[in-house]
Parts: sequence; structure tokens; C-alpha cells
Amino acid sequence: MTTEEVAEVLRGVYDPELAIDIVSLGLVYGIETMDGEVAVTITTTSPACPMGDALYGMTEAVLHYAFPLAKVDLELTHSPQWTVEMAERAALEELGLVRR
Amino acid sequence: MMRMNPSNSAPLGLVAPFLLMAPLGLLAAGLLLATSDASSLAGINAPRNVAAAHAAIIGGLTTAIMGAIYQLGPAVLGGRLVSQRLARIQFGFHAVSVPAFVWALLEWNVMWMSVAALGVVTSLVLFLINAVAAVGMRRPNSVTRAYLSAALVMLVITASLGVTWVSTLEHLWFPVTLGRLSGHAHMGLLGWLGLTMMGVSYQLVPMFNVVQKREPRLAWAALASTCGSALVGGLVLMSDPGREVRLSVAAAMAVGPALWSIDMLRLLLARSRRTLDVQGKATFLSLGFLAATIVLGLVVAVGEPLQDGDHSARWQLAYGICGIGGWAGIMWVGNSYKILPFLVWYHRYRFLAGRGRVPMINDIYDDRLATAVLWCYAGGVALLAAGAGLADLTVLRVGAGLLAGAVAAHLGTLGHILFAPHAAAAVAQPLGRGALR
Repeated sequence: MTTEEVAEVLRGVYDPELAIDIVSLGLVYGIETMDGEVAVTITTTSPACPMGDALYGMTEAVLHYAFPLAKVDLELTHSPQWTVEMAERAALEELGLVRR
Repeated sequence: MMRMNPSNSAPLGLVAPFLLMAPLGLLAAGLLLATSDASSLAGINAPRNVAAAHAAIIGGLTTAIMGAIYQLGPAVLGGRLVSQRLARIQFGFHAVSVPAFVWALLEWNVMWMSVAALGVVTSLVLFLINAVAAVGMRRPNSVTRAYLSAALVMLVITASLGVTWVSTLEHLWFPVTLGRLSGHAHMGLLGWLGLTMMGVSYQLVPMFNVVQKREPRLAWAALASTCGSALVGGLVLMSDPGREVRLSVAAAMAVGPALWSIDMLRLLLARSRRTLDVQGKATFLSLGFLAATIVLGLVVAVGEPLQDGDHSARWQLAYGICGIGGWAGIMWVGNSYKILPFLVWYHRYRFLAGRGRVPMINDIYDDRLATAVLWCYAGGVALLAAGAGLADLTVLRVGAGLLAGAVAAHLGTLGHILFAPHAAAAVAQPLGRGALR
């Protein structure tokens, strides 16, 4: 289990409102893996995002499914607050901020 | 900014009936105006006009707001419902008494007006018991909570004024003049509907359009101005003032919504989600109708020189149509395509997400169809207002027919969102890496 593998798994978690995966959106602040443990820190596009607990639940479920033997430590934070500059180009294209 | 906790929100089965009943009120208003005759243009207080206005405001927009407050209050503002059973009972009163009240107004049946109004007032009282707790009026202030709290106070004042009239058609020992009707109408439109829409949009517009780099600057000024002008201006209008005072009131009433419009435009222009969906388009359209409403409000305030004998209500009717059907109605149609899909997703798919394939919120409704409904609705309102302003009954009826058709389609799309099995076959499929969607 590597951070790259975890990130790939998290690309399967979508923000249901924007329909963009959370890695592309830059909502994954940190991934750490060590000794069968995975620690992931995520955020939402806004502290007022109504999907915060849903995103948390989805991320947790996906991690448990992909790494059933791993101990999952998942944190939802709003510090620092997400900005659109954290998103990957593909997400910016999807949002219409840059040309495809 | 408020943090949301949708897990506190009311069940879908409680909120959905309100959201589905709302288009029926707008549909009734459209059908009433589609069958207008010359009397509709001759007097704003013609029974058909009064019935249509109450169908749209109490039956349509207020019903939608009731459902939205039951949902958004606990989820967004940290309040709670006193009792879900009370809310369900309130819906029963509302669903029965509002159509009866509209019918009584149309027939100008004073006895049934009183009976039905009793039901409407009971519904409002039951609503307020839950709404005050849901909005959390005693908690620390946020912009949205402050707007909704003020709007609830204005609802009480507006309904109290109305209910003193229905049994005797007099206001205490004074006759109900056009000025008194105007005061009542403005407290309801600007004080109740306006403040609610403005407050909710300060929450929803930045959220749905991913606005980060700009904060609203004029929210408190717009609130103070709108509250003051709706209350004081409404009371002044009730004294049947002269032209200069009417113009001053119209100008004062325009200030709050104008400040809010500036805030909304600033927020929308700074959005990170550049592709406008139906809610974003509706917000722009709604702002356009607000501008038309402000202009027509000033025209109406001028009064006699712009009125002709047989069509003395034409500008007033156009003004009301732009304000109620355009500004408020379009805002509601657009936001309904956000609120209901979100509720359906949250209550139906939240627990499946991450464990299997689930639809995205955009998969729950068809944005192109919703946009078509929005344009038809806006076109209907525009034609309706043009027909009224030009005193052309044919254009007015065509506009009302188009509006009624659009509202029927809106109801159909909301029903589809609620009852259709979205991607049901995909929900049970096993999860694969990178294939959650």
C-alpha cells in the first residue's frame, strides 16, 4: 500500500454536486501510509458544503473496501480553506476555468 | 460562514410534499390569469387578480419556502424542528385551506373566505412554531438567519393585516382601500418573499457556484433597508398617500433589493464554476425581472397620468407579475432543481456512495430539460407582464397559458426527480478501483 495507490483509489470518490473526483479537485490534503495504516486528510470546497459528511463517509468506505486489512485514520478539515488553485487542470477544465 | 449538517435535516417524506404542492399554486395562478377578462385590467382588486396573487404567493411560493425552511433550518442554520408530526399536520391544513381560500376569493364569497382563512392562519401558526425553532432565531446571528428571522416577523404582520379584513372586508372600522391592499401586498412581497429569497440566496449562490474570493459586502445594509422600507413603506401606503410620497416609498423599497442585486452580481461574476447550470441562469434571469419590477414600481407610484380609465390596473398588474412571478418565481424554479435533487441524493444515495455505483446529483435531473422549463416559464412571465402593461388580453392570456404549461412541466420534472429510479441498476454493482461513479 503506497500513497500513489491510495490516491488512485481516492480518484474513485466524487463530489456529488460537481461530479469531479476529490483528488482532481484538490480536496485531498494529505495521504500517509505506514505499517498497515493509512492516514488521509480531506476537505470540502466550502465550510458550508452540504456534502461534508457524505464525502467523509464515501472516502472512509472506499478506503475500507480497497484496503480491508488497513487501519484507516480519516480527518475532515477546513484549515487551510480550499481554493480553486488547489485543483488539477482536469478539474479546472471541468469547472470551465481553463479551456480544454 | 455557516457549516452545514444535513444529517439534522427533516426527512424527505416531510419536505417533498411541500415542494410538490408549490407548483400547483403557481399553476392555479397561471390558469386563473389565462382565463382573465377585462375586469382584470380594470382593477387590481378584481377577484380574479386577488385569487391569482394568493394562489401564487400562499399556494406556490410560501409552500415552497415552508418546505425549504423545514429542510434548510436544521441543516444549515443549526436549528431544529419542534415536531415533525406538527409539520405534517400543518401540511394537511395548508393543502386543504389554501385552495379553498383561493376559490373563495375568486367567487368573492365572504363567508367561505373567513372559513378558509381560519385554516390558512392555523397553517401559518403551526408553521411558525416549527419555523422559529428551525431557523434558530435566538442563536448568534448569521446573514441567512437574520434575513429569515425578519421574514418570519413580516409574515406574521402581513397575515395579521389580511386576516383582519376577510371576515368583514373592513380594516377594523376603516374600509379596505387600494392603499391598504397595497400596504398588505408590499409587506408580503418585499417583507416575506423578498427577505426570504435574499437571505437564502446569500447561502446558496456562493455554495452552488463555488464562490471563494469574494464576500458579500452589502448584506446587512440590504437587510436593514428592506426591513425598514417594507414595514414603514407598507404602513405609509396603507394611508393612501399622494404621488410624491408614493414615489418616495417606491424608491426606498427599491434600495434593499438593489443592494442585494449588486452583491449577487459580484458573487456570480467571481464564481469558480464558470459553466452556469439552471440555478445560475435562474439567478441572472431573476435579477433581470427584479430590475423590471423596480422600474414598474416607480411607474405605478406615478399613478394617474400613466393610467387610462378602462385599464387603470394594467401597470399594477404588470408590476405584480414581474415581482411575484418573475423575481420570486424564477428564483424558486431555479433553486428547486438544486434543493430537491440534493435532498433525493442525500436521503437515497448517501449511504450507498462508496459502497457501490451511485448517480451524481447532476444525474438525478436533466439540466437541459430544467433549463427549457426555466426559459418557458420566464417567457410566460414576460408575455404575461407585457400583455398586462399593453392592456392586451390576448397576449396576457397566451403568456399565462405558457406560464401554466411551464409550471406543469416543472411539476413533472420534480416528480421525476423524486420518484424515478435513477441509475437503480448501477447502485448494487460491486465497487472497482477508480470506478465508484
